[in-house]
Amino acid sequence: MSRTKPLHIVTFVLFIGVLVFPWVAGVFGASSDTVERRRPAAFPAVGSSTVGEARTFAQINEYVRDRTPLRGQMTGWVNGAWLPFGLSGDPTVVEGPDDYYFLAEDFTGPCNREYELDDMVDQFELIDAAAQRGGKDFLFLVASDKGAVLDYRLGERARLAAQCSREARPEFRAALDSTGVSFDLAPSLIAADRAFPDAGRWYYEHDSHWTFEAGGIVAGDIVGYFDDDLYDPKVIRKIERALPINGDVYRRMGIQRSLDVPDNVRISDREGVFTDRSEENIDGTRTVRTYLSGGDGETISGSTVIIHDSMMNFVERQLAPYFEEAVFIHWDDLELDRAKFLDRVALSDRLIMVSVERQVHRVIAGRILEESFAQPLMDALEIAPDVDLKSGLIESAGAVRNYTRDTGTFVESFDDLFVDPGVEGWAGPYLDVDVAGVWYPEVAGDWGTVHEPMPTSPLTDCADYNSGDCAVWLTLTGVPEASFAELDAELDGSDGATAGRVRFDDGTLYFYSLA
Amino acid sequence: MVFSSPIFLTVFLPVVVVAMVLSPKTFRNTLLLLASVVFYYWGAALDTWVLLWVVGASFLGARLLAKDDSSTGAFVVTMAAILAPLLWFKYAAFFSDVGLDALSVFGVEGTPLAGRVLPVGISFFTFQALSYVLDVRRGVAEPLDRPDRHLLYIALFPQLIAGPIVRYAEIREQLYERVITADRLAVGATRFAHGLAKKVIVADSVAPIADAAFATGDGRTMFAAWIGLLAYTVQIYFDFSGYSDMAIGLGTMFGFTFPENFARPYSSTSITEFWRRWHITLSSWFRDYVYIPLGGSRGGAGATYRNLAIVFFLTALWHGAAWTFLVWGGIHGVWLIVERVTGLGSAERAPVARRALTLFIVMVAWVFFRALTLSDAVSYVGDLFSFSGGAINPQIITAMTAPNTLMLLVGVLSFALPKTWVAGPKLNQLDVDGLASTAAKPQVLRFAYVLIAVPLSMALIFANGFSPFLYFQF
Repeated sequence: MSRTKPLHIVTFVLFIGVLVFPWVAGVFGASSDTVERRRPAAFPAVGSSTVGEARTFAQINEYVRDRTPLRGQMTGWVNGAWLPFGLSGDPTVVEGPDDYYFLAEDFTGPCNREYELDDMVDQFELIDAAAQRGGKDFLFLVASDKGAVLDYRLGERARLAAQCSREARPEFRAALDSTGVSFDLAPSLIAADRAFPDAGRWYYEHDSHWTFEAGGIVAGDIVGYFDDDLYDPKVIRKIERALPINGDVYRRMGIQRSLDVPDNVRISDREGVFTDRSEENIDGTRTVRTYLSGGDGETISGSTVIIHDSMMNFVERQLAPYFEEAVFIHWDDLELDRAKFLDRVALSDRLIMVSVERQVHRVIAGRILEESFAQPLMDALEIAPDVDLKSGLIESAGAVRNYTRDTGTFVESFDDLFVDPGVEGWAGPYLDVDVAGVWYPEVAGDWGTVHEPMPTSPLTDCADYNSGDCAVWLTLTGVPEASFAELDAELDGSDGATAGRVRFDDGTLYFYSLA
Repeated sequence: MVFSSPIFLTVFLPVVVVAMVLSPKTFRNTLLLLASVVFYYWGAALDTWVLLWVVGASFLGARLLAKDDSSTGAFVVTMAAILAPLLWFKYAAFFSDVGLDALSVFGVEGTPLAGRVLPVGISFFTFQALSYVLDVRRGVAEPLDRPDRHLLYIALFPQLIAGPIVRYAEIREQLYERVITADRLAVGATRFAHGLAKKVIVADSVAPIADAAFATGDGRTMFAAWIGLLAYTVQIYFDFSGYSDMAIGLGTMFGFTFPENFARPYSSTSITEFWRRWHITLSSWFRDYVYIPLGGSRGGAGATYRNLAIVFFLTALWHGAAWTFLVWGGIHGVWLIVERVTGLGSAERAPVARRALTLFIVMVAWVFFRALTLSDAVSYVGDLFSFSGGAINPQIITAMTAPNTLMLLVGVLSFALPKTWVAGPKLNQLDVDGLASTAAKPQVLRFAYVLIAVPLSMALIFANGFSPFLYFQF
C-alpha cells in the first residue's frame, strides 16, 4: 500500500488551475483583446436546424477562441519575448535592422499572383472605356508597401523573403502603367527618402502604413495627376498633438507598445478654400466621409469617389481640400452596401481606387477581374448625367414617401426634405444634405416646389398615383427635354408625356410620387 | 473537438476531469460515455451515426460469434457490417476511379463516385471494433455484457479520434473496474502536458515551414526542399506522438492504461525496427490480425515477402485511398523485404550509418505521405536531388521565424537524444499498482513540467491559433 504524494495533488490542481485561469481572470475583469484585423466571431444560432451541422460547433470553437480572456496578452507575451533580440516570433511579421518590422505579406503577395497580366490590362481598358462612356475619369493606384520603399532596411531574412516580390514587381508595374489608368506612387516616395533620408519618416518602424509625411507626398502625386500646378505642400498644417501611435505590425504581434509621434495629424489648409467634412455612419463603427470644398480657391471640379484601404488614412485630409467633392469609401465598407455605394459612383465625375501593394493582387483577382464586381462597377461608371437623373428621381420619391410616413402629411416644399418645416414627426433629413447640395442642382437641374397634393386629405384615400388625383409631384426645370422622354421610357415604359410618374410639359418635368 | 483547441483545454477538459474526480465510482462510466458522445458529436455532428453503426454492428456481431455454434457466415456478415462505412466513405471513390480507368482500355466509360468527407477517426474506431470482434471470435476475451460499455470502449474520447488503437483485450477489465488516484491524476496531467507541448510548441511551430515548402511549386531550391522535408519529418512525429501522449495522459487520469504508440522511431537502425517504434498500435494490429493469420514467416521466404507486401499494402490503404499513400507504403514494404533478404534488418554493424540510411528512407517516403498528388511528390523528390543552388524560397524563409527555426533545431536534435532522455514514458511511469514512483525527483519534475509546459502551450495556441492533428484525417 503506497500513500499519495502531496506534490502530486498540487500538480493536478495546478494543471486544472492553469487551464481555467483565463476564465478566472475574466471574472476579475481581464478582457479578450483582438489582435487580428477582424471582428471577433459571433455565437452561432443554435436550433433544431443547425444543431446537426458540424459548422455550428466550429463557430462555437471560434467564439470561445476569440472571447477567451487574456488571449491578446498571451499573444503579446509569446511574441514580445523575441523583441529584445530584434526578432519576430510571428510568421506574419519579418524583422529588419534598427527595430524595423515588415509584414510578411509585403513579400509573399506579389509572388502569389493568380491571374494573367494581359487579362488585367484588358479588364482595366474595359473599365476605363465604361468610365469614358459615362464622362468620368477612372484611376487605379497601388499604394507602395514599406518593403518596396525601404528595401535597404530589410534584414537578411527579409531580404531573402523579398527576392521574389522584387523580381515580380517591375513586370506588374509595367503592365499596370500600360493600361493608362494607373501610375506608380512609389517613385516619389523613394526619391524623397533618398533625397532626405533624415528629414522625414515615410513609415514608422512598428507600422505598415504611410506616415503623414509620406501622405503629403502621395497627395501631391494624386492631385498632380489631374492638375500639375494645383498641389502646394506648403499649405500643410501640422496639428501639434503628440499622440502615441500603436503600430499595426506590433499589434499583429499582440504587443501594445506605441511610439510618441509629434505632429501626427496633418491637413491641407488651403487659402481661399473652405472644406466641410461630414460622416455617414455605416454600421455603428465605420464611416464614409464626404468633403465639400468651396470658396475662391481652385479645386478639381465635380464629385470624386475614392475607394481605398487603410493606407489612405494618413492622406485623406491632405488630399480632400483639392477636390470640390471627395467621398472616401473603404474597400471593406463597400461590401456592406455595394449597390448604394455604386450609386455614388454613378453620380460621380471620377473614381479613384487605391489598394496597398500587398493586397493588390487579391483586389485585382477577386474584384477587378471578378464578373460579379466588375460588371456592376462598369454599369455604374457608364451612367451618364442624363441617366443620373433617374437615380435622383427615384431617391427623391423614396424621400417623399418617408416624409409622408413619418409626418402623416404631404411634403410641401423640396426643402422640407432637408430642413425641418416644424411638422410633427419629421425625422429627416430624408435626402443626404451634403450630397444633395452638390449634385441635385448640378446634375438634375433645378428642383422646384412641390405641387399641392390631391386630395388634400385624408391620406388613406390615396391608393394609386397613376390615377392623377392621388399624388405629390416634384417639378424640375433646366434639364434637356430629350432627357424627359428617355426617363419616361426608363421609368414608365414610354407611356407619354401626360401619364405615369414621369410627365413633362414645356421644359418642366413633373415627377409624381406615391404619397 | 481538438485536444489543442481553447474550448477543449479551457472548458471541456477541466469540467470532465473535475466531474470525474468528484463523481461516485458507479457513475464514472456513464459520465465518461456522455463526455465521449459530446466530444465526438462536436466534430462529427450527424456523422455520429457512422460511429453508432460500427458500435452496434460489432456489439451484436460479437455476441453472436461468442456462441459455440456461430457460423462463418455470421462472421463475414459482422465484418462486412463493420467495414462497410469505412469502405464506402474512404475507398469507394478511389476504387471506382481506378476501376473506370482500367475499364476505359476496353472502351467502357463511366462517372467515378464523388469523394466524401470522412467521418472523423473512422479508421481508428473501425479497427478497434474489428479487434473486439476478432478477440471475441478467437476466444481471447469475453464479449461485453452491455452495449453502453461497448460504446464506451469504442468511443472513449481520449483515444477515439487518432489512437492509440486500444485493443479490446487490453482494457476489458478496466471498463469494469479502475481507480482514479491523485498519483494517476498528476502523472496523467504531466503526460498530457508533455503531449500538448510536443504538438503546440514543436509540431505547430515547424508546420508553417513544411507547409510553405510543400506549397511552393516550381523553383524550389534543393536546400529549401530539404529544409521543408526536415520540418515535415519533425512535424509528423511531434504531432502524432504528441496526440498519443495526450491520449495516454487522459487515459491515465481516468484510470485507464493505454498502450504506448511511439518509441523514438527516428533512432531506428532499420525500417524493420522503425515499424516496431512508429505507430506501434497500428503495426502490432496488422501483425496480430493480418500478418500472423496469413502465416507470418512460417511459410518460407516467398510467403513471408508476400505477407509483408500485403501488410504494407493494407497499412498504406489504412492511411488513405490515394496513390501517394500506396507509394509511401510501397517504399516501406519493399525496403523491409530488402532488409530481410540482405540481413540488414538484423545487422549490428555500423549503427550510425544504418540509422542515417533508415532516416533517409523514412524522410523520402514522407514526401509521398505529405504531397497532395503523385506528381507533386515526384516533383518534390526531384527538387531534393536537383543539386540546384540558390537561397531558400521567400515563402519558406518567411515561415522560418526565430521560434520556428529554433523548434526545427530542437526537433532534429531530439532524434539524436539518448534513450534515457526521452521524457514521455518516464514522466508517466507507474508501478504495478498504478501508483507513481515514490521518489521525490519525478514529483518535482512533473510539477515543473506542468508549471512551464501548459501555460506556454496555451499562450502559443492563443498567439498562433490551433490546428488539427495530422492523423485526424485518417
